[in-house]
Amino acid sequence: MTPADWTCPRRIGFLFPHPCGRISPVGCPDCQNGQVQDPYAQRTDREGYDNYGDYDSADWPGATGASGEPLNFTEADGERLVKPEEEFEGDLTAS
Amino acid sequence: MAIDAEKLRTGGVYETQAPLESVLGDVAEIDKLAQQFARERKRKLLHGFLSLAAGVVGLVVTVAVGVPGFIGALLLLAGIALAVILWVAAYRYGRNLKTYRWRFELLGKLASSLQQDSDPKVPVSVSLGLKDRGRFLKEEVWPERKRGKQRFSEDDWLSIEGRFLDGTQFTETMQELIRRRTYVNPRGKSKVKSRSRHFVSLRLTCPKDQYGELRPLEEGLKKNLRLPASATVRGLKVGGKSVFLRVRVDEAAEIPQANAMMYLGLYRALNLARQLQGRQK
Repeated sequence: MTPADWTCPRRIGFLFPHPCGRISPVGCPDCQNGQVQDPYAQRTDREGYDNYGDYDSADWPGATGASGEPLNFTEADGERLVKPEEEFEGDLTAS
Repeated sequence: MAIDAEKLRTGGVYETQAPLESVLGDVAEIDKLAQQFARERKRKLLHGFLSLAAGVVGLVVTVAVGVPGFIGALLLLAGIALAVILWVAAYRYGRNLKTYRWRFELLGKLASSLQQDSDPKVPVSVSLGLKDRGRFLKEEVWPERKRGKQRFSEDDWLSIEGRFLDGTQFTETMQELIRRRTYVNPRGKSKVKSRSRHFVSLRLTCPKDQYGELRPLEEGLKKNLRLPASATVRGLKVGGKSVFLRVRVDEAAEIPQANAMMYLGLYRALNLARQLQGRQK
């Protein structure tokens, strides 16, 4: 049973991750009724980009951190990509 | 939004400013109209055959009952004339939607893909050409063949603009470059050959506070961009907060795949920029 104030915390999206925010996983095409833990990362339909979320520092020569450190992402870096829904909403009202 | 069938059939342009879900609904409606026009073409074709048959029957009956021959001949001629008019009308009726079916189908695929990262309420601007709106570019002699000429024109048939959930603006255009060659073959017959090349241009303009400076990613973007076999990069510009990619696609069937790969390729770099920017905060 899903609590009344529950919103889905999973990451969804095709191009970039964003919060799911659905109020129930039932019938969800992204997590398939809660079966898929990370629908954004586990997608298999990004043709030609099987390693979409992986970055090798040799392939991205100009991309370094502020102090010039090489690419070596942690899970926290990936999580920072997902902004809370409120920020998206705030952005939309600006239009 | 209801589609004006007559305007679409004669004008050949679909334009809207509406959320992607509404655009998808319109594409489904255009598909229904295309099917309706196909049924109307068949009906006109059948009526043409019936007119011809009626002319022949009229001739036979007038001969059988002994009416002067010229009346029968007139009936036959009327039947033939009506049949030709109906067949020409059948050929032309709503033909644009038949010829350019792939264009509205592609818009449907594109809208469906963009929907996954867009706010369902935010409108997008769409302009879709469903007839040849080719703009003349140049005509020149084609010396390889007898009385050879080649004529170039371009048709800007799709533009779509909107904004993703992360605040990034997308502007995309599709263009068809048409080369039409005419010549006389060794047996003295006039020949016409046409060839099309497609150009897809995509610009993404990002909020700088989230993505930071994009220029350092240019080299990596060039190195990691992937496209289908018939597609080649014709332009890549990385500015402080925007990226622009122009791709040539030789096979129309590969446009949807090329289009999806363009978005993925650019966004892969943008996601990296956003992670790097996040580290600095």
